Amino acid sequence: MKLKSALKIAGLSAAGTLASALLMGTALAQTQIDVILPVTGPTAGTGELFKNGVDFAFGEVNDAGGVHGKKIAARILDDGGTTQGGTDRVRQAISGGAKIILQGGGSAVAAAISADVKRWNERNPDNPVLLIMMGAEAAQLTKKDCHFYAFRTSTNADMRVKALVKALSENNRLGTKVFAINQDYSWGREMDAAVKENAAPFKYQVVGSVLHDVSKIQDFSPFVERIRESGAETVVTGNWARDLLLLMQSVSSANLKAKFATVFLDEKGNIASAGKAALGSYVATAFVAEAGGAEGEAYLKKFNEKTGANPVSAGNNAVMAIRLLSRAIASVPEKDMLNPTALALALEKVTAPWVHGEVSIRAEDHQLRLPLVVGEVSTEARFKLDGTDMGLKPVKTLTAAETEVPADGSCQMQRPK
Amino acid sequence: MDPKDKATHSPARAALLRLVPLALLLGALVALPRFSDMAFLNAMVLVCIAALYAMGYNLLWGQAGLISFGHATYFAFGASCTIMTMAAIERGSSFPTPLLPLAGGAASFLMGLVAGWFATIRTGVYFAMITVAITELVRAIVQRWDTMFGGEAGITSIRMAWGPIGFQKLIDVYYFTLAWTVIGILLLWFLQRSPLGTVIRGIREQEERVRFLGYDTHALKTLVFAISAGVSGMAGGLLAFTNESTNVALYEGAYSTTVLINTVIGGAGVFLGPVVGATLTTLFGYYVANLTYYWLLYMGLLFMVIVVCAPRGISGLGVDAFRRLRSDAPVPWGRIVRQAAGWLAMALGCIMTIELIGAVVQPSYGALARSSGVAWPPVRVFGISWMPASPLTLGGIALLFSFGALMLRDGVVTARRNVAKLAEAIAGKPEPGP
Repeated sequence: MKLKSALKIAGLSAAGTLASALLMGTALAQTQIDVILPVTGPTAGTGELFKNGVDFAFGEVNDAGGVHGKKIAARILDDGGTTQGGTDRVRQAISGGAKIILQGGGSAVAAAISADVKRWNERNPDNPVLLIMMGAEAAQLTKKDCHFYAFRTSTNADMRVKALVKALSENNRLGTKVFAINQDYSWGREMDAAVKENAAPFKYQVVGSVLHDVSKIQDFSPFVERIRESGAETVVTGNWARDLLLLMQSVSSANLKAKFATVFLDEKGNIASAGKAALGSYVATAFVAEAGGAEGEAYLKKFNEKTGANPVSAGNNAVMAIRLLSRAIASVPEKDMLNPTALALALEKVTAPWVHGEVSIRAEDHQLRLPLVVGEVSTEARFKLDGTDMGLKPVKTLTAAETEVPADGSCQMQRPK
Repeated sequence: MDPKDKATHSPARAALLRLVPLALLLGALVALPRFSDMAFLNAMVLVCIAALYAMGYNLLWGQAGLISFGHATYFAFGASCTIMTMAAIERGSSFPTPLLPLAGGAASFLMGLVAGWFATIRTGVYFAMITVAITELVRAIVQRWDTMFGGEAGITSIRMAWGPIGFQKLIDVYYFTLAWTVIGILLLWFLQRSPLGTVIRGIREQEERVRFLGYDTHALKTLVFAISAGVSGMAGGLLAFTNESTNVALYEGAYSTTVLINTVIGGAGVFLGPVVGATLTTLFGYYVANLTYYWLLYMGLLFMVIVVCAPRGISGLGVDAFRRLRSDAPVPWGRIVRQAAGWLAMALGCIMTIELIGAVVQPSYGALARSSGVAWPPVRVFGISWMPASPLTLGGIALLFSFGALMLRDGVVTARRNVAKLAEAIAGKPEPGP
């Protein structure tokens, strides 16, 4: 008797599985926006930031009635943080009828996906696909490797460094001796170059620069000693994840006076792990709640209610991307709402609201123009991060015009006729 | 038919019995693009590449008894050299496009000659360690040498048409990959059947005896290593050809591990075993990854189940079943049905547990609970909303597990025996003969 009922349950669940698989298949067939994220793998933590942003932003659009009276939704595909995964998901997405692909994650995957989309569009000019890279920061994506259907809604090394040194020098916190320590790969090298380029306009001297192995250094104290010997007052670093944490920890035990100007210190877990070493460091980021006043607080609260997490770092870029996209969809006639060419043209024109000012896309190379806030890690900040007693106290909010670094003309995109 | 007839078959019939399924499979693969969408065709391209890679890898393991932990190097190097040749064609070189994988294969073969000479000085764990060291060395060089290997942005190129073949559509790429995979596998098959293959297996069983027969075993092992690297490089070349790009990430450890897992799951002891493993894991990763965030966990569980319950891989199970069919023993249908039901129940129980826990621990679930005012909001698994705290849900899961355990209880003995065998193998004790 027991066996029989158990068998019955097994049979029923098997039937259920089959039915749900079929249901899923039909639901997916109608989806035309796909989001490719590293949900698993070593960069899954970053993927989660994007996922929170995507969940929040789609919820926001749909709660307001959707676009053209229709709700928009996206399917999330996992690239595992690998370029191969990215390429596979692009093919799956296109095969499933996707017209718009949003990508979150590192530059290497973004470069692969962008190249795949570019080739697809060249080979299938009648059926192009729109790509929005929400978080990749490598410069080439909107320079040499730019193309008409690709958009980037995050910053790059030039913008981050410019924002950092501008805000700090205008508040007399930069000093005249700057040290650059970065990871030895494209992003770190771009940071390094940007620090050197900005030396003349912002009147500082680069007293030393280091490019070190990525994710290989266990002990940063030799580098910290070099920083001390150089007499640097400010250290600029584009390091992220463990390279940032271990660097900050070495600094805290070495009792170094120099202040750190960073890009990714506000990512989840960094401030908590760095502890007191983080105090007095700066970060140039897209969102600092305290700098946004009532609007900043409201955004923080809504984001938290929807996702259970704070809007930090890349998550905000996902929100900007979807706000821009939904406005572009709303600005074209309903019949064109999934026409990538019409949407690409619309994206070049629309602006979207953001806590610290408007964001828009530069038509020339499809780089995002956005305001950035330089914040200082402080115990006096109104909103704390990571469950610590520290948060970001705004030093200066730079408008989109102030953070903009003009295109250097290396982007030659073929526009549709 | 009398079972005795089966046992006393003629050699011609045996060959036919082997060839007919293979011919049918090949026919199905050739006809596939007619029935497949782009995503599945792309998946099959990846399956072909993973299969050829695993076959190359298994030449070393299955035939020579050497387990490499660093085959990604040869796979990736083949890919890099192929993309460089592709870029040269783009710039006007007259290298024929259809021979591109050979460029990668030849490069990896040469690299394998050098690396293999060092690695095969030792066997066992020491061999494996040397392969890892070489991989790390190559990776460190490649990651710094951006002008040559393109850094993490990689090198991109484009497939150039060759004569009447455009190579622009995925279907062209599929047939191209399939053809080269079949060529590669045939090459390995003839190698295995050749006198060289016999000597290699001899080295695996009793190296000293082979040496006393007058063979230079180190040179032979180096050669096998290089051929294995060459075939892996060919697979890498196919990947570069498909993606029209390569990336230094290919040199990372993950690609060494995947091929090892494919070989274990498929079975190292059967010629086409690695193909089975490669097909299964590639399709699994390709499709299940989009259905659940925990697909790697499921893959890990599957791997563990196979190691414990079928140490000779899926193809080993298949061979056993085939032998049983051809012997006089009756088919134990009862046991097969019982075990299948047991595994199904266990799998469903696992999926339910993992998906429910996975959903509940997400921060967004907490946010939903707070905003909706329900302590345990429903979670969707299999398209059905489940109440995670309801006794019905939890009882159902418990029932699935107990039913599974009941059905599989006689498997525990086998599993225990296999685990003991595995422990012995790890501890270095010689395994008892078959």
